[in-house]
Amino acid sequence: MACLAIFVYRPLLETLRLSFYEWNMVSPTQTYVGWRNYLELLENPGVRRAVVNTGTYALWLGALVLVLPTIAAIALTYMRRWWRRAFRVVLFLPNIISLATAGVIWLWIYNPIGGLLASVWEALGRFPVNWLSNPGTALGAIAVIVAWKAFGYNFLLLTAGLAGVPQEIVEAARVDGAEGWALWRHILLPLLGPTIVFVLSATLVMAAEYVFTPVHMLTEGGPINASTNVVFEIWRQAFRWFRVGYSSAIAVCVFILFLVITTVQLLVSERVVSYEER
Amino acid sequence: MRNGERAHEGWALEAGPLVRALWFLFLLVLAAVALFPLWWMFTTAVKPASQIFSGDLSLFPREVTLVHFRRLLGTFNLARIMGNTLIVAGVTTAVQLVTSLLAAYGFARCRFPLREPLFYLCLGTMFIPVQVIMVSNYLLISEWGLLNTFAAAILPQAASAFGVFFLRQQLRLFPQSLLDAARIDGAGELTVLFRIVLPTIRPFVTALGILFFINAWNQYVWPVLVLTDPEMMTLPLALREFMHSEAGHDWGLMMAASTMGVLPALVLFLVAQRMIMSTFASTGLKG
Repeated sequence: MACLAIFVYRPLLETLRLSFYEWNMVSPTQTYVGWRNYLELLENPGVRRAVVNTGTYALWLGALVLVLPTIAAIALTYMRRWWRRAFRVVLFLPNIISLATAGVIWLWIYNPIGGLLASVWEALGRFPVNWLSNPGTALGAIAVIVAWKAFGYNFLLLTAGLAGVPQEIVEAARVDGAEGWALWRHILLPLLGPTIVFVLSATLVMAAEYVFTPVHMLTEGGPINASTNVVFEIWRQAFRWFRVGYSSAIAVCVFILFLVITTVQLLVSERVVSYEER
Repeated sequence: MRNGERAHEGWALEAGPLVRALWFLFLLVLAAVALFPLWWMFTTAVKPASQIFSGDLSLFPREVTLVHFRRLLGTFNLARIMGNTLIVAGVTTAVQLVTSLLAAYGFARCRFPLREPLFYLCLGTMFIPVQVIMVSNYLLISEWGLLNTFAAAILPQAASAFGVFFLRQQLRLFPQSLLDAARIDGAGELTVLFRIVLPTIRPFVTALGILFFINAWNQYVWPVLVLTDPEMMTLPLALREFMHSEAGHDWGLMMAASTMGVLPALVLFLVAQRMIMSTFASTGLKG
């Protein structure tokens, strides 16, 4: 508890305080500037870009690690015992690999000279593209790396959520004539609701947080801010440009954003649960 | 345990052969996407340099060589870096297990004022991204003069809210009568915890420990700030350093380094795969 207090709640307050100052991390004086950091935040086009990018990441990841794993979890219920287990292990596997290593592996796959994608691309008779340094594709390329790692975790949560639906309910529904799509649409997916809401909020968090590592390793936010996001801006302002106050102001906003997401998630899942009980 | 196993298997649905085959194909494609980058990493690592850039897309390397791994020991200071990672990950895991266990026991079994609010405050830390608090933590660690020490990498992660939450769930299931019996026999709280409770929840603690270890082994965001000395770096950080150095275009070498980074976590996962996945599945979300 004390550890959490020292390393989580103390820095939270410290960050809040610093967000009202201007300080370069080395100088002994910290200048109080009131709300100026926040005002600059509203005007700065770089920050706007980061916010938009975070939204784009969320859309990408929503498709890749929310919709896709849900479909996969549905598919899994049609598999027999052995395959079911095998698919679960294999699909979860990339999740244990660090984002840093995943970044390096994908850097090689994306590499314009001799990389796997480039070779396939050329074999199809196209010009090689440098995925990570092309402003149009960098964000997508980063999102794919994160999705590759994160897929298995969400998939596991969703299959566990489905497995948690009591067998009697499934049987009863089928006795009542619900088959195929109807069974999913009216019985199973609604019961999976709380899990999906949880996975959704986890995905939003990912869009902000996980993206940091590959961006920090591979693109440093570039080219021309194409792959930056809000969380990366915190780091960049503080450790590249030494603007601690400004960085803290961003951090405070990100924190509030997360607070909102988590609260909404809790409220929604409570509502769904109580709806079920009625 | 048996019951839990069954629940995590779940029920199955029937469908016609065509539908089933299509779903199977879909899962197979996903599995291929999941595995292929790893296979590609591994084959690149064992291919001779001449084959790496030949645009050769064959799945299996024509020739297998360990030359990249051998060079890795020289240029990359592999032994030192693996050692660093092992120390940081090992100590982090041990510390996290002890703090989680103590805190979980307190929250589950002891009565004290403000217990519930404190528990939620503790849980809340799970939802705060590292990056929000990293600047301020960095300043504190550097004030303490701990930059570039293992302590800097370990201290801020000494407690894990997930661990507390997970073990508390298990501890609440523990029969109160057994605890009372032990207390009547004069056992102190710590004796009760380590002699009576711990042995019964050992499988869960082991699973949690493995998760902690894999997590700590992979840690990047925080260590990258406080471990900047190449002598102190852990593997993920060294990979980045390596990538930006002149060796960064030597893909055989890079992939050999990545393989070394993946291997320990991979082996641990495969050995304890069922335990890890059912830990996830059983805590699930409803908890």
